Amino acid sequence: MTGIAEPVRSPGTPPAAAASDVIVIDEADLQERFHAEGWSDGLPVVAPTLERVDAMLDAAGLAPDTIVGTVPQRDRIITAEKVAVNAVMAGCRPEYFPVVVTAMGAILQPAFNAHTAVTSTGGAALCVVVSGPETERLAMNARHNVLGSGNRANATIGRAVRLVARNVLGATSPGLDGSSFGHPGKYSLCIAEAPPPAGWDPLRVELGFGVDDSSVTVAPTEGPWQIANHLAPAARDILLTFAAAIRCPVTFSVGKGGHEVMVLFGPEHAQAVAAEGWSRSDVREFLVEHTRVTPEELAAAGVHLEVGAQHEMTPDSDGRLTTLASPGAVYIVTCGGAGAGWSAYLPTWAPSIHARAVTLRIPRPHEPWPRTDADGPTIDWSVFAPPAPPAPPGVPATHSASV
Amino acid sequence: MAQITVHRPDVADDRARLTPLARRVALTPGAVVTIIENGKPNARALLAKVADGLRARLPIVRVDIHSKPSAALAITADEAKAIAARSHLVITGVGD
Repeated sequence: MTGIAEPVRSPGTPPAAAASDVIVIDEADLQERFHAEGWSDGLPVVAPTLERVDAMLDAAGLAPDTIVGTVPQRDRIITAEKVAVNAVMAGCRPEYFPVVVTAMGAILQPAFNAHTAVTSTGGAALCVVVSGPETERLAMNARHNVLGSGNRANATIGRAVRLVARNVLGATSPGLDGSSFGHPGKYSLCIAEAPPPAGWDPLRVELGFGVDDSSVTVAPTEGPWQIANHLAPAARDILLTFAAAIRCPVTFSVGKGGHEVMVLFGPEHAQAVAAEGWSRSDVREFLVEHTRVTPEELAAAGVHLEVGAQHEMTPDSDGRLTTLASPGAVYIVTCGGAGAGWSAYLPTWAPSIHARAVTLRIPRPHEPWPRTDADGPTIDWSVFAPPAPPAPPGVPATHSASV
Repeated sequence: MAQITVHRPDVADDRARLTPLARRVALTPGAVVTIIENGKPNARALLAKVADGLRARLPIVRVDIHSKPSAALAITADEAKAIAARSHLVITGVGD
């Protein structure tokens, strides 16, 4: 690490694209050419002209050759320029780009294990959760239809990171993306956190950042499950409903030593639980305890226990198996629109020994990107990491300090 | 028709190049063949049978199985060096 550096690119600096990375085409042929090359997710794309890509890089103050991260298993170096090209194609406005870059920086941390997360037959999405003032500045949606369509920032930020996975990491089918089914979140899955009810901190504060900071949390997730409880006024009953969803045996990771979950609390449920005096820590501990399952419950669903394989499925002394390894494996996000009493959750696609959620702080407007130049001009993400970043895969989550 | 200049979104200069096959050599008595097992259910049992088959066909070699704790994680560089140092042939890339 060489410490804080000046912005690595001054606005107005001419683009420095390598000749092999640009092509000249008839504008009318753009969509057909990009689809034919396999560069699109199936939807139309915005032409990544030199000017548009340059504007994207300028908005973040990044030079084209800045290294956002690497995937050593694929011998891939992901530059700011490649991220910018895919962000333009996704339809991002330039002001979204610092969020896209930070999300990619998180995805490329070893703890996330991008190599496997975009390859596995389990078909994980690259779930992006944004917390903090940036959500308002970018007019992101945290309320009604938060998991649905209709908001440009949510839709295009999520689409941009997936296009990078497709075009730079080779996550295509056929190709290196072995998803047996995948799910619609693999087009885009990006949400904003809404302000929590009184008594609860927002996610970024729980992770150790300041209330005026903004953060990005990324997790490789299955598709979202909606959780309905429209009648129970008591916090315990609401949380039992959450636990019943999370422990459902059809989810691959249930009972396999512990995975992580993004728990999206709708307004009624968050208000009811917080009003009874349950802290976020209380909720996390409750969910860890009440999602433990017995071998009999799994057997009743036809699920066999692994023996002598990678997942530890020996029941503990109480005869139960772990689903969530620790309170630190539960990410609480308040969002969604008011209505009858809905929430949702997204399980990570595999136990934590394989991959972990990662959170990074988003640089403040005009804040320089610190660099470490050991292997080229690389963003030093350690400056943006929470006080206790997640352990690499293979090490169980400990507690909220690593959330 | 208007022409535009656009960036390629992929990696035109693919740094992952094909690696030429190693030179073929005859296995001598005592040669070690290592099979890397990825930790998935039944992988070890299946590969143990493969190892038995190799031993039956090539009685002059020793066949080892190296188990990974997670199918999602590559072996470490130190593990790779140790395996390479003691093996004459390594079979890896065993998937689902």
